[in-house]
Amino acid sequence: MSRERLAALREEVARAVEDGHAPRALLQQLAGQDVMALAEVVVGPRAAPSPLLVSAALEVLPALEEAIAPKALYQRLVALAVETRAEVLTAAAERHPLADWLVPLSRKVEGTAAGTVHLRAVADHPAFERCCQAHAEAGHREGLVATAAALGRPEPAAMLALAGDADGAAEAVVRTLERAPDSAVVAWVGAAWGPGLDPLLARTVQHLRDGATAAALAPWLDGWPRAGGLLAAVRRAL
Amino acid sequence: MAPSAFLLGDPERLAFAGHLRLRHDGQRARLAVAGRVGVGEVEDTDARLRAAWAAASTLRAALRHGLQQAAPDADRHVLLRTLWESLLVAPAAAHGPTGGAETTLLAVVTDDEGVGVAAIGLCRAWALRAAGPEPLVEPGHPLLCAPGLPERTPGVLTLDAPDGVQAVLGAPSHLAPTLGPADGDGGLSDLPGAALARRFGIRP
Repeated sequence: MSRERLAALREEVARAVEDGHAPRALLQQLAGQDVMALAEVVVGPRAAPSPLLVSAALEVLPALEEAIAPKALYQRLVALAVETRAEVLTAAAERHPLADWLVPLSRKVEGTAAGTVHLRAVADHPAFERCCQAHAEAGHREGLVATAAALGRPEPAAMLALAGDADGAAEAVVRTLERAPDSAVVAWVGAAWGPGLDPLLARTVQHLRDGATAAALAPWLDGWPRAGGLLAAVRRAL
Repeated sequence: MAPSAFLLGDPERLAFAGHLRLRHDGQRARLAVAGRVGVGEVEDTDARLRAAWAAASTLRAALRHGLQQAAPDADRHVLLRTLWESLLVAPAAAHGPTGGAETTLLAVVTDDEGVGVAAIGLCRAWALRAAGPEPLVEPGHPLLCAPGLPERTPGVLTLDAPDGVQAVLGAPSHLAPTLGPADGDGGLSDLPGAALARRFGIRP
């Protein structure tokens, strides 16, 4: 495509977003005709930094990925508009659930809650545990704890333990049991952390918020003197 | 400080399924135990971890109970004998679905007279000193034997030079294929301290 034609397309897109319209039809047309021109208009150096443009771009992702590597594409889309960052991250996680670059991208988009969107997207994938591990190693405790609370799955707590984050693992254990009282999350954490579990289990007690979860935790603390003793003391107050 | 006992974890994220540890401090002798109860092939991870946890917890409780029955002034020989007796009379649930066929136990017992090491189910053993792990015995030594409940009381290796031994490390025999040649170091001597600690589940 000629330089002049590309410039005209960029102007057309800029006018559309200035008028408050997402240039969907134009992007769909380019996706079918010239993916390099599409990429130039949407994520090129002179692309309009507009959430309307990014929203329209999310509808032509397969064509954009033909023209530009996914890692660079999603980083650029995130950088183009703050308002659509979460949608971009969700789309990236759904299309590339196992990509390593999702971990730093999550950090950029979600901040301290990094991992929440990605892990939700891969919850039914066999690599869920591996993705939890990647976020745990990146220090994304808040996102993992939020995931444990939302899904009631044991992997976030176990991978926090594996990464050596005892307090994060302890909090995730409790959030998991709040959502899924029958969960074997403590056994998962033990398998990841190792058999010297009493100090970590003792930390779970400080994260308890209700008697029902304390009751769910209690059988797992049998035989752990420090944790079991703390729980016995705290249960009376819950 | 009496040496501790640690077992090598499996080369996977959930490395310590079925592992247990306990310490018993008597008036004359102190015992450190590291163990593993195998649960055989269980495809579902959650079911495998539940079974391993249940068996290891039951075995730990049974061993602890048995050792609490020993005389407070028991020496290291008595403590070791009590440990093996406690293993043999532990409830069936302590041995997991394999009936104890995959049970590994490493015991390090210390009193004023010396330090003894006894085990079942190890393929390698190391003495951990400040400079790192060093092989404790040669391949074929009786300390290295098959897993499972012992038919006779396992022998005891008395450490010739116990000073400076911080811990005795053992590798459960099912990990032999992952450790390279039997007369090698198992890849441990090149590991930095933090990585070594992680492989053995040694946490702060």
